[in-house]
Amino acid sequence: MIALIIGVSITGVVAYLLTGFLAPWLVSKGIYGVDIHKPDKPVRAEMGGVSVLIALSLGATIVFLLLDPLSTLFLAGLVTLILVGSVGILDDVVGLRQRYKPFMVAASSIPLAVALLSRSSIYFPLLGSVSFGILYPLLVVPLAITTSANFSNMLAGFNGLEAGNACIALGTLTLLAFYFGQFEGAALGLMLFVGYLGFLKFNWFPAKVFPGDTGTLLAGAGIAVIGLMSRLEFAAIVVSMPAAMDFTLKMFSKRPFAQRIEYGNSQVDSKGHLVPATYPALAHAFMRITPTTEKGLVKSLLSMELVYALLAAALTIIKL
Amino acid sequence: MRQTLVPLLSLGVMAFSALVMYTVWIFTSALSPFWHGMVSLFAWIAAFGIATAYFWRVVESLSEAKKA
Repeated sequence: MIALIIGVSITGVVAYLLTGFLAPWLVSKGIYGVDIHKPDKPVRAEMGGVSVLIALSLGATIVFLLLDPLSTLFLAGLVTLILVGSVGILDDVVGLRQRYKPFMVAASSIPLAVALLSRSSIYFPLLGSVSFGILYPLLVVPLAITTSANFSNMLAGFNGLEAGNACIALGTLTLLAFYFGQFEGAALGLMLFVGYLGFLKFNWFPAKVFPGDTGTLLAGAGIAVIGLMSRLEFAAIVVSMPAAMDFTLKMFSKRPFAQRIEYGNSQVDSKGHLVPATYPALAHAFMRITPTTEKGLVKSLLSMELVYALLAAALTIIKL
Repeated sequence: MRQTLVPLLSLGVMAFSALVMYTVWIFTSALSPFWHGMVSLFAWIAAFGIATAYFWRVVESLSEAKKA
């Protein structure tokens, strides 16, 4: 327990301090993006999620070294997350082609797939254990991590949304993992949670730094990894439902992975209200229903995520 | 207040797709355990896609009503 407290504290403090340092440094190095939902279009640092990745690597390595006996599952989960985070860095720096990204994320999941080689089923309420056989490590694990990372990468673009979503989803899965005695998943989840919490301080409206693909891919992969490690696959699916809905809506448009090029971005009017782009998306649904500011939209989306998190917790604990 | 419509509609999408999955699960119990699970899973994904498309139509109609 002392190892975990040390690891978690280091992760939180390093993520907070490093994000504070990186925000101006990344801008000075030319790694920045324009905050399009502000009237004055300020420039903000991109790739801020790298601070969470570094903090997690540091904190988790300390926990891994201090834990006795050493856990293969913990190490596999950590290595998978570091690899996915590295794909995010590569994407932020050189801009990977959309068609290659899923394969690279899927390849990153190999360590966890190997660690879960003996597992074959997922528990669903009312259905019970559904057997996937050898497809669990070969297909379910890479597919879950790739899909979740992609979901998180798509439901993004507003101050505090990605990190806030990550905190709610990871916090819920961590609590559930502790509740069910899944220590490895809970420990890794707790470190990711505090890492994103430290980052959120600088990402919340008005943001000083954006997570970039490093932060969004890591958050999505984190949800899947903690779910798979802790046998909380169903809970991970439920907390991912808002992002799944956003993804499905975006698939209905003419160019599913290039809507922004085809239709442009949502804009902000003179009153500070958001004007949605014409393609279907979850954020645009909120904007279409009633006028909303960026802060209001993020609060609505995070409230929706919280509803699904509570639902996931209730359905998992009741275990129908 | 209108903002709560989106989460409520999304819960409807989830409930509908879950209902379809459980119905298919009940009626495909004769299949082998693997195919029983797979068919139900695909039914859920298909139902989720259809319900999400309908969700967007409702959002658009509410948006038009607001403009009017």
